[in-house]
Amino acid sequence: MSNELNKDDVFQAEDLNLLKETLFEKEKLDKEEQLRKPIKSIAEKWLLIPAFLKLRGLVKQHIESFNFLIEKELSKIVAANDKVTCDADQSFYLRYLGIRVGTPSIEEDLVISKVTPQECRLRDLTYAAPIYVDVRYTRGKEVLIRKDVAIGRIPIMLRSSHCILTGKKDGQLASLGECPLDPGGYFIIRGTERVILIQEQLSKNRIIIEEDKKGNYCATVTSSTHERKSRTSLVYKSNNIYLRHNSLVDDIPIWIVFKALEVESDQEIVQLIGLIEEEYRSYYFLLNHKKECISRHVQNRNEALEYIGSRVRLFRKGYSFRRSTIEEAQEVLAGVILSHIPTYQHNFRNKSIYLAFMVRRLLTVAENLTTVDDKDYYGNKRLELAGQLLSLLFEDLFKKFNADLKRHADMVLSKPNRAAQFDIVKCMRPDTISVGLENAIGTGNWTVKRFRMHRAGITQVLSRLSYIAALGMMTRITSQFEKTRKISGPRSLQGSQWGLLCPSDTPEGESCGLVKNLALTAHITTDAEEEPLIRLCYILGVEDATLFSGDELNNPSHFRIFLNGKFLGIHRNASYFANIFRFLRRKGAIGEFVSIFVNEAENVVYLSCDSGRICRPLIIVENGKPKVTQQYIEQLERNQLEFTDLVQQGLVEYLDVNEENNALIALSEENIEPCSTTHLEISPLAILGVCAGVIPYPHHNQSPRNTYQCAMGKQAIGFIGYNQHLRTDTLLYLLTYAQKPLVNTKTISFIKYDELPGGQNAIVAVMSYSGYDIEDALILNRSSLDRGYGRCCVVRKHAFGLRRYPNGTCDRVCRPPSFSESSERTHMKFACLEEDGLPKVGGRLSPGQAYVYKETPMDTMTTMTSQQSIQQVGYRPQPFFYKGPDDAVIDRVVVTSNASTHALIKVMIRETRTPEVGDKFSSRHGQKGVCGLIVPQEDMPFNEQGICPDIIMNPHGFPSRMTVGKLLELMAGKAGVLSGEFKNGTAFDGDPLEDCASLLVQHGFSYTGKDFLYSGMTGEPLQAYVFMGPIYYQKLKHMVKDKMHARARGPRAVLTRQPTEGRSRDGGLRLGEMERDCLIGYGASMLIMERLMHSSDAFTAHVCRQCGLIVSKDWCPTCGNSLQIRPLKIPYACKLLFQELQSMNIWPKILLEERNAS
Amino acid sequence: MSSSLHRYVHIGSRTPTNTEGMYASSVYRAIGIDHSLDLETFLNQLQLRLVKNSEEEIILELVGVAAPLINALRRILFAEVPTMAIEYVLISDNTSVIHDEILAHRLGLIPIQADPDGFQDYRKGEEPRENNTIVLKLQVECKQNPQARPGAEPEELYINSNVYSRDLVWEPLGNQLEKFGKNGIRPVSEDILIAKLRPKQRIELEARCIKGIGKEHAKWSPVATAYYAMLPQVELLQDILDEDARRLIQKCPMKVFDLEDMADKKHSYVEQQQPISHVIAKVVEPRRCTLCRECIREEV
Repeated sequence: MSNELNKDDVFQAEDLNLLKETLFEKEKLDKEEQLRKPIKSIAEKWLLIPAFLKLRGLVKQHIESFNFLIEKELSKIVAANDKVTCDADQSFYLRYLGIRVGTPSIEEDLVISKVTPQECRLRDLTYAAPIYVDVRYTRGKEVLIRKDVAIGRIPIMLRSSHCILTGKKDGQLASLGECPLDPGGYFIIRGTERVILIQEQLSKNRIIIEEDKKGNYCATVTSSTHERKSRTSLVYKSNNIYLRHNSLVDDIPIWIVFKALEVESDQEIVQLIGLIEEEYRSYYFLLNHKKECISRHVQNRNEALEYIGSRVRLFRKGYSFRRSTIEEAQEVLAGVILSHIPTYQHNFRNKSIYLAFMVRRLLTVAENLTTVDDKDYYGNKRLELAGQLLSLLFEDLFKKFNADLKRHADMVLSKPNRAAQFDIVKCMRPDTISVGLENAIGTGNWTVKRFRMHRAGITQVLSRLSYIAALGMMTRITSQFEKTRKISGPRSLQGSQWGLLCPSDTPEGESCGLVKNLALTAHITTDAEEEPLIRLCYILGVEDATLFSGDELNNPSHFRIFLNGKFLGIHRNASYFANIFRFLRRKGAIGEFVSIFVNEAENVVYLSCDSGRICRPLIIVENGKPKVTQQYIEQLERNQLEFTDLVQQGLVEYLDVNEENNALIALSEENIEPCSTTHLEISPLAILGVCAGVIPYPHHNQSPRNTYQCAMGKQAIGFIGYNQHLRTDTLLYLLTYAQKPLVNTKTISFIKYDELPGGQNAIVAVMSYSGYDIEDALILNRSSLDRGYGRCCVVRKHAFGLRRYPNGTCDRVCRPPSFSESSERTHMKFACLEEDGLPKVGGRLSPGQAYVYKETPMDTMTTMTSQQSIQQVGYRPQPFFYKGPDDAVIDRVVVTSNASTHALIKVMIRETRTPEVGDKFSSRHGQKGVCGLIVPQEDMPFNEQGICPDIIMNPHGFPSRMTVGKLLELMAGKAGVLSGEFKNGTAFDGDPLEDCASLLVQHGFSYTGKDFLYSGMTGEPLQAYVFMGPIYYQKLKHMVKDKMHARARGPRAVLTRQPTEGRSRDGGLRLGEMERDCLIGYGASMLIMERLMHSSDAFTAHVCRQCGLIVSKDWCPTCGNSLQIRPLKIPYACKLLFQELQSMNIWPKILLEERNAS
Repeated sequence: MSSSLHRYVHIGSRTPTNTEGMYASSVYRAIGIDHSLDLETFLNQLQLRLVKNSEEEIILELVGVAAPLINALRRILFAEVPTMAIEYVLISDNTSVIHDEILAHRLGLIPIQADPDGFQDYRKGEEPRENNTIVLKLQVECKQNPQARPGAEPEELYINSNVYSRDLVWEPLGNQLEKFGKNGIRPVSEDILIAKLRPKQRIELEARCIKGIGKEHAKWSPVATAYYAMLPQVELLQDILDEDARRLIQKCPMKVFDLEDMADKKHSYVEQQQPISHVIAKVVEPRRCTLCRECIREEV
């Protein structure tokens, strides 16, 4: 509110004079001497980043976007669709007066109760809040107002303004079963946590010059309004320009379009387009156009409209009322083509000016004055977040909801005599909206009818493998490009992504470069009001374009002003306008995220306040001095200041990608140029994202290694949250003794990775040992494993519901037979169960034992008449047996109920694992390896202090990988251990090697980090000094226990009788085509026979020699005898093929010969 | 020369050299040295001195022993000396945040003060008896401390918030009490943290120690670590004077070298011409040397 008042104050014209004076006052101060002084660097200026993160949080973009939807966008949507009428009764109406979202709750047995997110996770519920509307409507003759009518439920994003967790202290969160470090920003749909990924798109309503498939230049605008999305192109081909649009059958020469848009004189058209750099050449095309117009008999507006109207593609089929072609053309020109430029009462002036500007831009490219626009340039991208995506969906559902209401009203009111009065509020069915939203988020399928949009994979299940994995998912951006296309442009790192997207964090393989991650300080804007900005622009001297002639528009000193792609007008002094604009923004009169970008080449000023722009904070530099000084940093440190204060005081501002073009940003204080520098980076470490921020000394690594670590950090086992033991995830990996990394980075402490770590500090000796360390394999110390290194818990959920059947019977969990039978076998099988049929918590479960004794009714179909007959129904036992390789422990049993089933039982089964040969480990430098050998401690080398390595790593891992950061981590870690402190390995910063090395010397270790080791086996010193010290190692989720597989005998597929496929079905190992080729080449025909038939699906078929068909053993129905039936061994699949052929009326004949007696 | 070659490992700035010993009896026969090992000469040459013998540390100084022999000792200490350690844990209640298996694992690693000679090996499935098992009991429950100031540390807020090894209570079986005495069997250290509890959480269990060796699991290893280092000998190959000497002394972090006035020594040829104020570096404490090679580091 106060902000708005401020705006009004500043908009007063009188104040502007004062403002100008202050501006010029500043310029006077620019004294030469002052500028020559060296700029003191601001110590600890990186402290701005934690301040920023404290304000914004790591997932603030998601939460802010969702808040915007709930608080502003919903009411806008309702206001746009606020009336429901009825065709049958003209007096009937229903009008929405307002909309609100309540607090998250559930309705059970007509009781509405509040829910916590944790309850939703445990009970497989949806964390959603009801949407209430106030309505005014007619019931019979009266007009009623009803408040708080629920129209549906909207899933609530965790930690958003309507979530019950917001504003809670750590203690309160703990009592709600919530981890205080959990970032929120996701939804809980039927118990699973789902994230709406950030979607990257080309920006809407902006002119982009590109080459089309045929190599013609074209200027394209994707117009997007609430109602419609459409694409308008101007194509430059064979020296002519044509308008191309989906709703037009044919390309229309631009001259005709101009004529149709009320620019009838040729001179005016030329003037509107304007001269380009005094080039007359380009106007040859005008002549062509003129000719074309004449040839097509289009001279005036009516003829032009007629021409266009006859080429309009008609989408409405069988629509009763038809318009004339002229009306049709006008309608298309007004509403469909360039629909984001509004036309009021068929005044096409704005549109023609816009179109002329498009032509002008197209011509500059066609005449090689500039090049085509870069589509991959990040200023041309917009990021769609949860809020925007949900608003698209909600509007669609709301329209459907209203349409349903209308249909219902039509149906009821058209009936001549009704028993009761029609009350529409009673007919509101909240399911349309609730189910629609829940299903969309639950499956990730986004279907918006009005844009004919159908996208899959918008949401994903939040990965809870490690804390980093969850965080990394929240900052992930996916783009709409097809993954299969082999194009490098959209995949490669763009210069304009600096500071906004992490240069390291992207997957390898098909989606490389298409899936990106936000950098640490990147922020995504939400929509801001346009109205006050437009008013401000006019006050600041923007003149309405419709008042100008074409000549004046194209005057090189006049700048066109665009706001969010809409043409506002002309300004005569762009730099002055931009200066004042920025001044006002720094004073807080305009929203902090509004950007202004002066494009000198195009003579255009672009203002944007739309949503989805990506921006980042920078320190403002004025007169060669950064405005944030040491004093502010100290205040930040003492918590006397917040980041918002710095923004409000105009010391720090957000720049988006486009505005960065008008700025000169210094990387550090030394780089500040006295006159030209406008901004200063906060800290270079902020160019990295969350995942890459965990790597120590990443600037010393070969860059793909950092990318590999970004992918692997997400697979590392560690702590996932303070509530990890309360969670019921399907699969949970927990490291027992996770440690804080010895070599820290600033990012680690910002994101609190050190509180939920994902690895352990291991003493690593870089040397070869035993030959079991080839191909990056690691040697582990058995004693370290005995003492708990790499020990982890694997907790698996086994959930099932007790179903209720239509006839009233239902599943039950009951007393297992071991309590009544005394057989040894039964006792063994049900040893883990208690009398209620559920397992003992803490009990040991062996493979093959039951963990739940469930029974299902034998008869679920016939309707039961009385309670008694329900009780009399028989039950069939259906116990669940544990199928694991090893003994496990029952961790927890959750008995609850969800919305649909009678009861929901979740049994969490836990397994504790120590590392074994074949388990995968990795350091933080993209260096993964499996354990190759576990060696007893007495065989391990040791140094003069008796220190023995936990891990031996082969030095061949270094030269080709060039992970110098790992060497530095070892040095820093060793120095840290000896001096008893955590070392800092932040990107572009970090403790220098020299300091670490001299610390080593102080403690009596070699400067090189290499120790003098004795062989544990011979007792003699090793022949080389060995580089040894602590390195943080992650245990990755890939463990042999989950993968090892072998089979001698086992299940077979029913249809083909061949062995099943895959480990989960205890399948066979396939002898594939290539292996078969080898055997053929070798000539081992009997082996092929054995592998492909005898060991697979051998079958003895009986064949009748007379007819050649497969018949039964002792009768051939075709021949009517059994004289010539012989047994034959063929693959069952072959027999199947013959029978299938027979079923298609094909007679496959098997011709047999008697085997030679010899 | 020959004897020094076979007695010393040379610490080079880049690599150690002469690391391999020669153990065959005939290796030095050509130069007239009998290298064969017989018990008598070995015992004659062997010098053993106890440098330190405390509760937690024993330091021995051995002269006249080659690497393989002392290494064998080291390896035996690690892997083959029996001790008692907790192997079976019968948990009757554990409501702490630590899983049963992890708790049992932690208990197993607690060193138990008990003379393993008094016990026999326990074979699986055997009845626990006085001659093969030690029984320890642990029974703790965390409670709110009524006297605690609000907002204090958890240690003060709650009673039994931390479970330590001292909470393990020995329950003598049979004649164990007479055999080992009242305090004869206990955890070596009292302050080993086993678990942390919060109000209403409790642990109740019985832990059984059995005899075992380090080869099976590190918990039966009687030593935290056992190691040896060769006796360092630091020799200055030439006189290091004045500034160089001071720099050398500065460089050595372990203070192996010291300065000495040259006046006292009738040492080298420079004596006559130079004034008395000269100093020379001397090796004073070669045993302090940690082989950091700082003194022989080659500047790059």
